[in-house]
Amino acid sequence: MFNLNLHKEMKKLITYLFIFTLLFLFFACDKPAPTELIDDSLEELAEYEILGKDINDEFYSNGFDTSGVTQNLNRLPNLISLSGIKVTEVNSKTDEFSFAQAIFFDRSKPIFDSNNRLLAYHTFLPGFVRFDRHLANTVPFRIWYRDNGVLKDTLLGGKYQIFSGRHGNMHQYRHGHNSLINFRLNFFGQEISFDIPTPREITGNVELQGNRNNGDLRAVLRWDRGNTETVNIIIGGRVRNRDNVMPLYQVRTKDDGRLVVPPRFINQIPVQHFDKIVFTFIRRFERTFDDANNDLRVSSQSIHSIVVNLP
Amino acid sequence: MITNGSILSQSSFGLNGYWGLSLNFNTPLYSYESNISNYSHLEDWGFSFLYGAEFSKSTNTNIYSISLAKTLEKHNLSTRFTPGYQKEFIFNTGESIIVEDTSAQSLTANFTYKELFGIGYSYKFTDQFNAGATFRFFTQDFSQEIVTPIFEDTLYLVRDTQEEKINFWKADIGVNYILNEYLNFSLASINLLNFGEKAENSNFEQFEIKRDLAALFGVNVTPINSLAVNFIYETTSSYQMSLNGYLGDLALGLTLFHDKYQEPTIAGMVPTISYKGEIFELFLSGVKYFSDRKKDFGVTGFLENGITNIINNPYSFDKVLLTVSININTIAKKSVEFIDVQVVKDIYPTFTDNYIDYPFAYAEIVNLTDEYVNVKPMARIEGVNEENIQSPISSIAPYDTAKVPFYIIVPETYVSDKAVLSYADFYLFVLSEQPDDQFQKAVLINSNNSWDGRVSNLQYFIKKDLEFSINYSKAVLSRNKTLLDTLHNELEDFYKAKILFYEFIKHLTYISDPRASGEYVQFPNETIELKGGDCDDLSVCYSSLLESVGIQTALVDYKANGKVRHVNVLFNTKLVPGQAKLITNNDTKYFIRESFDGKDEIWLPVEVTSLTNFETAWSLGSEKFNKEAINDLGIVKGKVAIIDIY
Repeated sequence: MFNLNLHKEMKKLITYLFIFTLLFLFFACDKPAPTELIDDSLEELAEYEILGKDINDEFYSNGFDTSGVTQNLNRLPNLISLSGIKVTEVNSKTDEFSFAQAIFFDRSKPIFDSNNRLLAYHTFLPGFVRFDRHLANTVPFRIWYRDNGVLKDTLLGGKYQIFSGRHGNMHQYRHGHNSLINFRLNFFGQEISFDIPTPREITGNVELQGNRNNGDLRAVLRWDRGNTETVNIIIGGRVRNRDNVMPLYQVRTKDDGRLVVPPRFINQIPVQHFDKIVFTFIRRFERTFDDANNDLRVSSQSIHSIVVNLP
Repeated sequence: MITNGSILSQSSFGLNGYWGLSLNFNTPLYSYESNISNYSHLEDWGFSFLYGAEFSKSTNTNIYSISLAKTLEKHNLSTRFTPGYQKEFIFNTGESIIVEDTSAQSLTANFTYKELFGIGYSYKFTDQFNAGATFRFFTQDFSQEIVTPIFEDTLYLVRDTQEEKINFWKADIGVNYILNEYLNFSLASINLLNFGEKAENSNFEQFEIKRDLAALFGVNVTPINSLAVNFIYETTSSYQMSLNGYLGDLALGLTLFHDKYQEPTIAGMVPTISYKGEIFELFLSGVKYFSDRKKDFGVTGFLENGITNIINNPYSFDKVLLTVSININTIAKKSVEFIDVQVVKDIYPTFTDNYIDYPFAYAEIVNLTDEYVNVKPMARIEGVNEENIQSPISSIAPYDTAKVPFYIIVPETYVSDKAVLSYADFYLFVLSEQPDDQFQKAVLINSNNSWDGRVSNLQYFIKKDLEFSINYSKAVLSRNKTLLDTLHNELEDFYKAKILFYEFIKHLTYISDPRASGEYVQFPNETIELKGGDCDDLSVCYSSLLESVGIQTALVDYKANGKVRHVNVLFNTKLVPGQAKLITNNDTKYFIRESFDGKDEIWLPVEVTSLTNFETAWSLGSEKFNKEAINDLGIVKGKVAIIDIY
């Protein structure tokens, strides 16, 4: 123990201590190292992407179609796509249909708008295409876009397509879930054939919770867990008084059977513009072959669209 | 999305290891974690500074805590600032956005938990029992990026940040019981009281530091002086064990701790080496975890289990820490202390000089140091002295005891007509302006007229009222100036004494001690005024009158010896033996005494109680003196004493 009898000495010592402490505070202080936790979560994951940038323009070319193909056409590779699709309306009535298509682009023939923006490439039909021995039809492949405010359409060419199960189309082709569908192409006389695996069927459920006026309206989405790592959920709005669905955002999340879409995503949807929300669950197998000479994406998906009233 | 969290606030883990109550060192007591009761054996001020380096993937340094403590008698107050008590987590929220170029951008969250400062208070009820409380302030910074769609002309996503800062206090109490030098116990609460803010954002609510009520129990065993074994158990199922060894000023400690939230069972250790100097205590400690802390941790574990402690959790890194503690004692350390004080005299206010010459009390004191100390004793009697009266300085050998006297001064101005029971404060000063020790004892202060029966002390009554006597005598002698002027100079004192005697006895009556309850002596003015008194009063009065005109007097003490004690007066005629015939032819009526300068002078005894005339009083005085003092050898045998007034 240190005895200081003089008050003056004590004050001097305390002054030194104070200065010493301040110096340390200024020169010797880092911040304790933070712990950066890596993302090993098997549960929640949500990757949000805007799909419909102009909600006033239903013809905005976003590349989305009911097959679940959402890529911009200018970046879309040659495509073989198989879809098993369900649509559950507000009245809980569910329609099912199958859709298969194949599109081949001629990269030497780009299509530009008047602003010289690449829109897409012309397509070509190299031969016959069969899905599970069902001969695919060839249909025109047309896209719509706005060019300096004027709605235009253009024909890219033809594509192969089988569509069955809706609007009286009673084609024999049926999309088999969790199975193999054979694809066969007579490519300018050369036979190409391979099997395409399809994912498990997805069946979704949508429950809206909360209240828009309270700002806590959120969507609890559930689906049966499948055999893919992720599922895509496309949230779209059906334009009021028109039977036209505009995709708004896409959420990619773990295929864990549950996702809560936060209120900020539901509350923000303008009710004066949209009267219904469409949640489209997509479970997809996809593989892209890309080499110097050619590219090909093969995808198969189970799709379930659920239409609910926007409160 | 973040769904779950379980975070508990600080528990008993300390960065210096666990040292129990650490009777040898102060430093570990600055840890509120293991010293919730704020136990301290500081004598005055204490300052502690804890600086350390943390070994994450990089090495960074930081001030972990700065503490200040102050002891005020049995109270101890402490406060600490803990800039290094914080833990920050950065992780992806699970949300991400796809931007124009189709790349994904993850959204992140940043949660920071901090203990900013704390306050401690304790009270030492006895040397064995201490109780106290600590109050600690925590803050939690939650920051989380979110993505929000904006519906304008164009639909787009924006990254936004939700932030919330949540502050709270927590208070805990603890007690310590030191059974003996070998064994002590601690008992304290964990999260007893909590008050502060709550999370408003439901996303963060679950990540607030959990404050579940718990308790801890500590026991410290010192089987031999150089070894201590400590154990602390929390009802959260965590515990610590430590072993401390002491080698003179050096000490070594090793603490092993178990935390149910960490792997392995013994999650780590805190080795410590410390040095205790005269001023400083230095602690060099380390925290070594037995599991890999540099690996990548997944967010899943954090979301499921959270952390249990800000500075000790599964994500804490190994550390090296240096603690400097400084003990500043502005209060002089006690070098001496009283064992006992004995008042040997009651106070007689009239005996003023007596207490300067003779101690009124003695104290037995002990030197507590290993050095010689010079002790300055001082005393003060309540109601008598306004300031301390210093007694002679005594030098005391190391660890020796000594008996030191206390002297006092009774001011001339002190007046009291009755006895008062007061008290005396005794002080021992060594170096500082503050006494090392003090003692209080009751003291009886008698009235001004009280007398202890010692004839020698009658001189104080004679001297005290001298001014009255001077006036009285001058007046009497003035009236007899004519007679005195006609006398030989040699006979002047004789006749002055004779005249004063006649005037003195003119109106007096002898009264045997009028205060039957005890010795009571009248001052000369009181005797004249009351016109009476006993032998003491009359002798005092006559002596005072003679002394006031320069006639040297003495009191003759005829000691009781089974009979009534008696006092009469001798006075110096200044006549030399050859001049005796000027006043008497009877050589038994005078006595020769040698003066200070070796000259023989004639002294006459006067029996003052004989209120007839001077010759009779002289004769009676001579007869008594001759018989008892000379013939019966009273002076030789000590039965008769002559007490000179000056």
